[in-house]
Amino acid sequence: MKLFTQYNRITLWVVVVFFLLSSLVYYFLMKGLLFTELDKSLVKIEKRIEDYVQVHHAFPVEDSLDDLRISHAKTSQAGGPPSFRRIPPTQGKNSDNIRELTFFLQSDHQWYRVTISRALEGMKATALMVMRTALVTLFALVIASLLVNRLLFRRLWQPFYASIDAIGQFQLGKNNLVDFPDTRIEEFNFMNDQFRRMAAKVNKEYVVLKEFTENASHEMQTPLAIIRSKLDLAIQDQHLSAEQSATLQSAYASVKKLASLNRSLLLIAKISNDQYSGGAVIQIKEKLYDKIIQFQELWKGQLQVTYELSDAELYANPDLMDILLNNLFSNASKHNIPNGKVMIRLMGGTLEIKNTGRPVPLDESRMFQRFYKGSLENENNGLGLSIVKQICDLTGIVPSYSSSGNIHAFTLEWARPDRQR
Amino acid sequence: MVMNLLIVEDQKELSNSIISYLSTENYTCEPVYDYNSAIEKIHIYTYSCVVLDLCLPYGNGLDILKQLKKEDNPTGIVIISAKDSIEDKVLGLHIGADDFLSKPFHLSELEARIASVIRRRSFEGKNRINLDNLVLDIREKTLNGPAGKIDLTRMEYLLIEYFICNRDKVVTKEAIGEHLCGDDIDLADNYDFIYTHLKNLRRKLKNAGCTDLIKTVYGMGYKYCSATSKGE
Repeated sequence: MKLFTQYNRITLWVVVVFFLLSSLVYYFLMKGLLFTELDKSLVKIEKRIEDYVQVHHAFPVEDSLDDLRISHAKTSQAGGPPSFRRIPPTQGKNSDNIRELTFFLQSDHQWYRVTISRALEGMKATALMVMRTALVTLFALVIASLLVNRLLFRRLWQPFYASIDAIGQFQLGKNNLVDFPDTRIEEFNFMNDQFRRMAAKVNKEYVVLKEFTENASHEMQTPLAIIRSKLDLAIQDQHLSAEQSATLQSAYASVKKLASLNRSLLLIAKISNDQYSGGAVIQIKEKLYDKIIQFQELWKGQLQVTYELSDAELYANPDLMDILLNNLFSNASKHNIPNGKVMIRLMGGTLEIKNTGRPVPLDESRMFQRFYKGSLENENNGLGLSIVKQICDLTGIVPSYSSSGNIHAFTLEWARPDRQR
Repeated sequence: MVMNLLIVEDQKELSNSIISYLSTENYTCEPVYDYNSAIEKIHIYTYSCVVLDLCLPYGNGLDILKQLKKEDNPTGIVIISAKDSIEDKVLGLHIGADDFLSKPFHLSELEARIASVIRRRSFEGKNRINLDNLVLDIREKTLNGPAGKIDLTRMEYLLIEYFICNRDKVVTKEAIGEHLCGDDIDLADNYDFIYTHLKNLRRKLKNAGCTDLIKTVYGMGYKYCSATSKGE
């Protein structure tokens, strides 16, 4: 539900209740007012009757055309001060409320009890009028508020949507500060201020974290270099026993793993630090061809590499593209079987690298995550594919994986360079 | 002829390792641990090659490199750096370094790079190595045996060159693997391909009438035991 709808719902109910209440109050006030006026007129008539009786020693003749009725009766003594009474309307449609004033009057030493009554006219009409006015006003108000809100809504909330759009375009690590448009509305400005502050803070924290990763990796390079150099020296000893050799070999292998892990982490940090900015249109066919030749040379007699290449262009950072291809080629050889095959096909905007391997498909939902390892005996650091994914994301390439039997296929798809950017 | 090397590296432990690995009959190494002493040394002496770390106390290794280049020094320069960012590499090579090796490296790789830099920089036949009936031509990338040229694939040539540069030293499979396919290809623990190329190389050497001097060091790697060097 939109805020606007919710707001309208509440305000409309409040308005309806308020109007009903106010109509009721209005009605009673009107009624009270009419009664007061009527009572005043009855008091005036009382005075006039008293004056008349004083002068004429008789009661005035009742005018039957008038709605005023005067009746008098003899009493033995005065019954007290004048009193008003309301007589509810008698049966029948057009009967009105009747207001009656009773007072006592002395004339020629005789006490009379005089009653003046007058119908209160127009109460119904007044009530009806009040109700109609209230309903019409209410209706008009609701319509007007709906229209005005709808029309105003977009204009008033426009800065809000602009800010939300800006937040949506905010990318962590991209150093462009988000552009929140200034508005005249205090609340939105306050919100934008907070957004701005938050974006700056988040960016700062992120940069600190990334720098930390990069610095930590760098700092590790030197001790690693020392360990490796010491091992290089230690293995030169000609009198090493078999156990010592095995120990050194195992240390050596672990240093290698650590070094490659560190390199990968550093690479990831650099990619996310945008240190590989800038791209060019790459003739991917030639690049692939060079790689394939190198690969065939390396794996001569071990793996059979077949390929089918057609011209294709790609907009990317050449260094990143190199890393991407190296990773995919490394994977294709690492996870291969003895005398296995690697099949490479480049067609338009699609590169497919297939290799033979164990007949166990990779977990597609997790394969691009960091430190994903397909199997327990996997000796890799599990960062290769996450680097592939990161480069693909940065370059606008869509990577996908499929497998059938013992064939694993990685496919990269991209748009033409003119559309890629 | 003995070559002088200047090792500019502030990490003493690493510097010591490099020196004890390289200090054979071929090289004498001199270590310096900071920028100022490095500048001082390059002004007084001439070295065949300078192994240069970029992050140094009191200064940047790149400035030492610039200094060497300004003076038209014939010294070869191999940068060893923990910062293996592409820009640093490109910048270093652009200013005039001969090679760039990122840490952590194999000492055998460093020796091969130094040897290659020194030979590239020197002229008059010094780009040939004569050893045990073999003549390795670094410039032409060929190997000649007693009966003439031995036809090698690129991989086999890289192997024999690496072995000869690191003769009488144990080189590990890891180091050979990285040397053959560059830093960028991650091989995990799969070194079978080395074995294939080595087998072919050995066969070719044998056919050319050479004794097999490449020994397998069990579990570790290989060692080219030069027949002419001392102690073997």
